[in-house]
Amino acid sequence: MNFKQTAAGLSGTLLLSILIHACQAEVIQDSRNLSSGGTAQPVSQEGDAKTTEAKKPDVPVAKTTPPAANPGTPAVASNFTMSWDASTDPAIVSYKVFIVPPDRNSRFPGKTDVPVQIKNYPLAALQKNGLKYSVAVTSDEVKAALGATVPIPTAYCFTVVSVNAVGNSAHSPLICP
Amino acid sequence: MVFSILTDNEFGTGLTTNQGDEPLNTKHLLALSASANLFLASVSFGHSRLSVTTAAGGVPRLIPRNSSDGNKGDASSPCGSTNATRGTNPVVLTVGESISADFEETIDHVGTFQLNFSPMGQVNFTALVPAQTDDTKAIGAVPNKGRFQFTVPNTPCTDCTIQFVQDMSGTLNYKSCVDVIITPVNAPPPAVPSGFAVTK
Repeated sequence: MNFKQTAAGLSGTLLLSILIHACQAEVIQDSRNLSSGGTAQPVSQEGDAKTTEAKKPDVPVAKTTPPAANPGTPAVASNFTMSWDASTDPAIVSYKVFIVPPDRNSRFPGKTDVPVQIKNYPLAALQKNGLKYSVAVTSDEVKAALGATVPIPTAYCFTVVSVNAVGNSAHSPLICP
Repeated sequence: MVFSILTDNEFGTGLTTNQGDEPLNTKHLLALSASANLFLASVSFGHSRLSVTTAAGGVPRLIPRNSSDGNKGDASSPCGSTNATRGTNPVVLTVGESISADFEETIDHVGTFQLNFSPMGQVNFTALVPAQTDDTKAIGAVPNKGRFQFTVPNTPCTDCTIQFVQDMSGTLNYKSCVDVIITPVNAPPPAVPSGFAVTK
């Protein structure tokens, strides 16, 4: 094999890698850290009209040891128990629970992406303990909501909205257990 | 996706162009491959989007059904190519309500940022607020950020849409849409649930 053949082969390999790269789904980076143990912390400052690449958003400080961030290994399956105050508003017909995935854009570690609905719970499907509604969400339900195109995150964040005949409320504060 | 980006005017070259119309030789291919690989990572996402995280780390009021980050659409795709049709969780706004919507530019590009409104479906969009011109002095300084502030139109609707566009003066622009219901003051959405907690 002479130099020209070697160079041509190398070039072909590089072009093939470009094509493979182009066809790949965009991968969620594991540099995020949303397992703050509570409401998510600020990641950017209001009024910050122009920032530079070097001025990265602050990453929330973990209050507990974050899950292992192994890029190739999804988090261990677990179930979540969610609760919220039982509203006295008689117009509320259901509550919707959402998962808020980590930002797909690796430029913004610690930020989140568009919320994805896990399930709509009519009031009758909720357990009421005193003045609280509660519901158990399985990891399978989370995976089903995220779908095949979104990798399972290693940290989870959730919100809930209430629903009446008009539509959804705004989202509750983000909780990242 | 990559090829559409490679053929953007901003990069000024396509795979089929070559000086002097000579066939692509090994040297050219090697140089092209290497340079393409070098900037692939930086062009995988572009160019701007409505912010999906508030400054307090929560979920903003105007949450789009899709992110315009890397979501291109032409005139026939008013909401881009991803999640192009109306979703099942429209944002409920009240007539006359004051709304702030933040946006951020993730890859700098000359153009304008627009926030448009359609009272029915995804057609006949009109400007909700004046467009904001990208600050060309900030090339390379990303993410650029901006904010739209507007008052919710006074006509209730159940199938309306707010469209965010980064107009780059081409046939393809970055877009995303917020599915919206506008409700009268006397028929508001429910209050935000309080006391939300999650354990595992």
